[in-house]
Amino acid sequence: MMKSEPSRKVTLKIEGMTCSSCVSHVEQVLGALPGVSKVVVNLEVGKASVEYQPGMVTLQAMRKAVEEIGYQVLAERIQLQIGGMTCASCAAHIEEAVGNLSGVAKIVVNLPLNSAQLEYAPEMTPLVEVIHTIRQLGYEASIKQNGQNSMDREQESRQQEIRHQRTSLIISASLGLIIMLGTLQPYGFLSKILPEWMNNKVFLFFLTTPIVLGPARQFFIHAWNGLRHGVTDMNLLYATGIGAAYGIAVVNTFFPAAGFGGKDATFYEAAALLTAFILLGRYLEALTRGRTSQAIRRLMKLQPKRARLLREGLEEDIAAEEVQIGDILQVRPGEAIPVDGVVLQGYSSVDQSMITGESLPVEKKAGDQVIGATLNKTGAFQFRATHVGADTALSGIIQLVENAQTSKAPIQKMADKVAGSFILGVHAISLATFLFWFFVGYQLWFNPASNLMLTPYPLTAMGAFGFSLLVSVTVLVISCPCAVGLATPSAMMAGIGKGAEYGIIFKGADAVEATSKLQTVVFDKTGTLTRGEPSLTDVVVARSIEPVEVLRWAAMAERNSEHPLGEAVVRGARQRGIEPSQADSFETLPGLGIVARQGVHQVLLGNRRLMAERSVTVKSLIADATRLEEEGKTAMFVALDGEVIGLVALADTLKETSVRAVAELKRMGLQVVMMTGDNHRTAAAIGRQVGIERVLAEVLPEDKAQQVKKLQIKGSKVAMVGDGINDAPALAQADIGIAIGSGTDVAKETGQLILIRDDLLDVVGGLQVARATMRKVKENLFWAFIYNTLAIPLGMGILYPFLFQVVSPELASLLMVTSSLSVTLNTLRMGGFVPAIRRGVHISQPERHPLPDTNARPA
Amino acid sequence: MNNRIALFTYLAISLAAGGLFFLAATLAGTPSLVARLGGAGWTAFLALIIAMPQVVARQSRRHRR
Repeated sequence: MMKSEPSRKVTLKIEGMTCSSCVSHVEQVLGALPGVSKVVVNLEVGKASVEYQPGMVTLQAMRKAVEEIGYQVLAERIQLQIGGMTCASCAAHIEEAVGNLSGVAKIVVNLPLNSAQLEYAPEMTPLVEVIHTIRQLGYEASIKQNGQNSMDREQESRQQEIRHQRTSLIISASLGLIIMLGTLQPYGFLSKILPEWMNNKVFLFFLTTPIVLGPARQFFIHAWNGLRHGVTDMNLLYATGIGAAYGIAVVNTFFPAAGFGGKDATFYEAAALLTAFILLGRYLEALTRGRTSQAIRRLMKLQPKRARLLREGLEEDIAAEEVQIGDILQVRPGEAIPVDGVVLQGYSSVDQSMITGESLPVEKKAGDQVIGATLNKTGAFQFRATHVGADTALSGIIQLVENAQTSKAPIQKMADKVAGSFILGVHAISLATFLFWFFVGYQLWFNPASNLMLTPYPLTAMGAFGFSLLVSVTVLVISCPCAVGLATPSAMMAGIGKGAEYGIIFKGADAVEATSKLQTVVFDKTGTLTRGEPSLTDVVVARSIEPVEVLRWAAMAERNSEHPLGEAVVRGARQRGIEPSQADSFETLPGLGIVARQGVHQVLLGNRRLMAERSVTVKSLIADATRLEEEGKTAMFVALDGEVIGLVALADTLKETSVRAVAELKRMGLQVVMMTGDNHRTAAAIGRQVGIERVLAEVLPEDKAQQVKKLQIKGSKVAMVGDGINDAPALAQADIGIAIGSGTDVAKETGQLILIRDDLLDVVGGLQVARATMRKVKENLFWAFIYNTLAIPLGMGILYPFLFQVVSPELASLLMVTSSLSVTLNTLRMGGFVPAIRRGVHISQPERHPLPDTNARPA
Repeated sequence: MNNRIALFTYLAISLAAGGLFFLAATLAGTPSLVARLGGAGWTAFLALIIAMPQVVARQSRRHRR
C-alpha cells in the first residue's frame, strides 16, 4: 500500500469577494480541485485557508480556479537576481523548471536585466526551494535588492560574467588557433613554415582536451542540468556538437582502424574553434546586453547621495536615505534635490528633464512641489520632505519601468514558444539529416575530392558514417534559436527605457505592443484636451469704447468674486496687463450675475435676464452673444450706469498642444474621438476648434466606459486618454488607458501608459515609441528567422550535390554567432531614437488656438 | 517512482531507435560494423535528446494531475 504524505495548509489572499455567496463560490471551486481536502474562506480578511495533499494540487491550479469565477488570488511577489544566463533559452529553461514547482503561480525571467519576477505561495514552496531549483540548473540566484545596491550587484554580476567569458575565450581562441594551424600544416605554404609535429594528432589531442574540459565544460553542465529537468536549451546543441566532433577525433586518433575515417578525419579544430566562436558570441553578448537597460541605470544613478538637513537653524550634511518625512531641507544652486517635497521659502528654477523630459527648467516658489533627483539651477530654497525612500517619484518610476521590462508581450510569448520547440526541432532535423546522408545521400553524391567550405583539406577518408555525422553536427551548431529568443525582450527593454527618458511610462511590454496596434484614440474633453477651467476668450464692445475699458470695468466688478467665471475674468484682465481696481461695494445675484459700485458708477455683469430686470437694452450685442454661445462659450453682458458697453465671453480653452497632437494622430492614421458631458452644440464647437470630427457628447461619467466598449465592439483597438482619476473605468475598459499629466505619482494610475507631463504631444510620443519598438522587434525576428531559414538547409548539405562543398562545424558556429550579434546590434540602434514629435518633425499646425480678435466690433 | 517510469520510457525509445537504425543499415547492406554501430549510437543519442524532455514533461504533468 502506498503511504500518502500528510496534508498541508496554505493561506491564499483572495481579492474581489464582497458577500457570503462569494465565499461559498470560492470554497466550492477550491474544494472541487483534486488534492484539496478542506477550504475555509474568511470574508473579513479576504483569505482562504486551503488544506491540500502535496504533489496533487498546485498554486497555479488554485489560482486558475478562483480567477475563472471572477476573483483574484494575490500571491507573494518577489524579484530575484539571476546570474549565469547566456541566452534566451536559459530564461525559458528557468521559467519551465521553476514554473513546475507546486507553489509558484508565475515566473517571468528577464534575460537582459538578469532578473526574474516571481509570484508564489511561500507556504507551498519556500523561496529557498525556488532558489535551490535555479541553482540546480546551473545558474546563480538571490533575492534582488532595490535601488543602488541592486544596481551595484547587477553591475558586479555582469562584470563577473564578462570576465569569465573573456578568460574562456582567450584560452579557447589561442589554443584553437594553434590547433587550426596544426590541422592545416600539411597544406600549401604552411607545410614550409610550420614543423610537421604540429599536425601530430596526439599533440592536437593534448591541445584540444583542455578546451573541452575547461571553457566548454559549461555547455555540458548546463545541458545535463536541463535534461535532468526535462528542458532542452542551446547548451545542448553546443554540447552535442562539441562532444561529437571531439569524440570522433579521439577515436580516430587512438583507434584509427575503428572505421570512423582514420587519422585524416580528426576534427580537433572543429571542437576547438566551435567552442571559441560560441564563447566569442557569449562574450560580445555579455558586453552589449547591459546596454539595452541603460535607461533604468541612468535613472538609478540620478538618486542623490547627500542632503542638507536644517535642524534648529543649522545646516547638517546627511545621507539622502536618512531623510525623514517632514524634515526641512536646504538646496543650493547646482545641487540635486534629495527627495520629493514642497517648497517652503525661496525661489529657483529646477531642471526636471531627467524625470519628466521637460526641456526647459521649471520655476519653483513657496507651495510648489519639487521632485527628488531633479537639479536646482539658479536660486536657493528650503523645502519640506513629503516622500522619501521607496516612495519618491524616482523610486516609483524605476519600479514601474523595471516591472514593465520584466513583463512579456504576446509576440514574445510566441517567439519564446518557437525558440523552445526549436531545440527539439533542430535535433529532429539533425537526426533526419544523418539518416538521409547515411542511407541515401552518401551513395549518390559523395565525392572523395570534395572539401569543407573555406578549408583546403579533402574529405577523402570519410566513410558514410563519418560524413553523415559531420553534416548532422553542423545542423546542430548552425541552428540558433538564441537570436529568436533575444529579438523581442532586447527591443522591448530598449523601447520601454526610451519611453521613460521622455516621461512616457509603459506599464508592460504588452502595453507597448497594444499601443503600437491602436486604431482609435478617445480623448476626454475637460482637463485633457482643454485646461479644465474657464478662461477669458472674447471681449466685444457695444459702442466707441476700447475693449480694455470693458474688461477693466468687468474685472473691477468681479475682483472679489469667488465664482470660477468671475475669477476667470479677473485672471484674463491681469494676463492682459490690467490690474482690477477695488469696488466700493458688490453684490452677487444668484443665477443672474453681479452688481458692483465704484464711486458714482454702477456696473452690472451678467446674463440676459439680469439686463432685462435692470431694463438695460442689449439688442446690439444679441447676435454676438448668440454666436459666442454657439461656439460653446459663456457670454456675460457688461453694463455701465444703465447702458450696455460690451460683453465678455468665457470658455474652457484648449491646451497649447491639443490641436497639434490631434493633427499628428490623424496624420499617423488614427481615428480621433472626443468624449464629453457637454451638450452637442458646445461639444461640436470644441471639436471643430481642436480638429476632431467625431464627438461623443452628453456622455455621463459613468457611461464613458460603455462608449469605449461600443467602439471596441466595432472592432477598433481603442486608447482612452484621460486624467486617470475621474476616467478610471474608461481607462480600464480601453485596450490602452493613457493617464495624462499624472505628475510623478505614477504607481497609482489606472492606465497602462502613464504620461508624467500634462502634454498631449506625449500621447503622440508614446505611440511613436511603441511603433518604433515593435518595428525593431519585427526587424529582429525577421533577421533571426531568415538566418535560420537559410542556415539550416545550408548546414544540411543542400549545396553538396551541386558544389561538393559542405559547411564545417566551426564555420557553422561563426555564422550562428553572427546571427545573435546582428539582433543585439540592431537593438542597440534604438539608443539614438528620438520620437519624431520631440525632434520637431511634424506637419505645420498652429501652436496654440488663438483667441478671437477682441477688438472686433459686431456687424 | 515517476522518475523511474520516465527514465525507462525514454531509454526504451532511444534504444528502439538505435536498434531500428542498426537493422535498417544491415538490411541496406552497409558493410562496416563500426559504421552500423556508430550510426545506431548517434541515432539513439539524438532520439534520447528528443524523447527525454517530452517524456519527463509529460510524466510530471500527469503526476500533477
